[in-house]
Amino acid sequence: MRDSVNAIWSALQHPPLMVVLYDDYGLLESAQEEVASIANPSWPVQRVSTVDEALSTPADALALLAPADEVATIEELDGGRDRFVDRVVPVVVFLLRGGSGERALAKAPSLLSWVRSNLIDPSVQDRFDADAAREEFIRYAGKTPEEWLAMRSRGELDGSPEHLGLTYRALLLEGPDDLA
Amino acid sequence: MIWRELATQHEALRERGYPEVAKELRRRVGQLVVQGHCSPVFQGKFSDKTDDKRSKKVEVMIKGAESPIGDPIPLLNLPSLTHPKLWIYALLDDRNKRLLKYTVRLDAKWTSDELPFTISVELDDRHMGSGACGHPLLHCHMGVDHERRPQFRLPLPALTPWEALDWLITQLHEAHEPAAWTRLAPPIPSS
Repeated sequence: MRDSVNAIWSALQHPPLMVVLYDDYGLLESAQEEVASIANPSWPVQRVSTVDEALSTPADALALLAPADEVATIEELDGGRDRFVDRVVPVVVFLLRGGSGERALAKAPSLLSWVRSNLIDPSVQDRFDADAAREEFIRYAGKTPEEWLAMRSRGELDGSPEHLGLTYRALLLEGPDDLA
Repeated sequence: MIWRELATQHEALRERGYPEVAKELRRRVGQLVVQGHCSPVFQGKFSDKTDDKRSKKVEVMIKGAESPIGDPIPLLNLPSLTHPKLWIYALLDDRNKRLLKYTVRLDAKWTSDELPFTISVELDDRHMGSGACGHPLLHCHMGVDHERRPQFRLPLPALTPWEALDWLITQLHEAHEPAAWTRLAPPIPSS
């Protein structure tokens, strides 16, 4: 499940700082766009690469901080809480998962305790258990996803929102051979 | 032939994948929040699920509290409507980066007479009905519900899911018009 969306939304409501881990450099821009898409659209978005640049943005702007030097950034943030007290909208720090910045964060207890509830790791939060989802579907609909889609092909479903939602879920859960 | 062209344009709509669709829809939900038409919590509930082991599909929806079917967004500050509920679904093929199906649907009652109605913009995941005229891939249902006549399907131009949401919201509240004539039309020459 993509609970990271909800986790990001929740962290965005709690300034001054949040940390988002991303998988590789090629996905950094996508991760930044994702956070921006979850943020209040009235917040100006600014991309920065240093703590000073982040702090120079308006307090009500969404500063997306992709550090040029992750370790130096973590060291600067650690113990620097006072510099962020005026933030109305969080500064979002993007760190490469498994990189030097994440390791430095683990060794920065003050910063870690400060951002722990605003630390987003999509790899942990976004797991989807297809088998459990199928069991949930069968419990709810009384049929397998494939049986449900067969009913749809026979025109046996009505246009209710419930049938609509179950059809989308059945299409998600059916096997790859059914992907037409 | 217009219907062939329309079918081609509708098929071309599919050439967009996750995460573009999720992000754009989420941005539109964020605009509804700013406009005062829905609670901010729905930006955080606008989630997606990926079956990355089997089907390689992604479902984009408002996460349901206790059921697999997702929740609607209760719309606010639309005085002409009672209990308006907005449903948004999209299904994508993550392997081939294709939009397979989407639905942007509003169920509500008119405040004036309590009559129910539904507006539903739907991109089908497969060919249905007789053809691209009788059952266009992208069409709109408008009526009391999906069951009672008239069960007409109105053809639509190739709207993305978020453009369909723009269209639907503008039908309800013209203040949100994204393409006002004053910004589109050339100035009328003075006489």
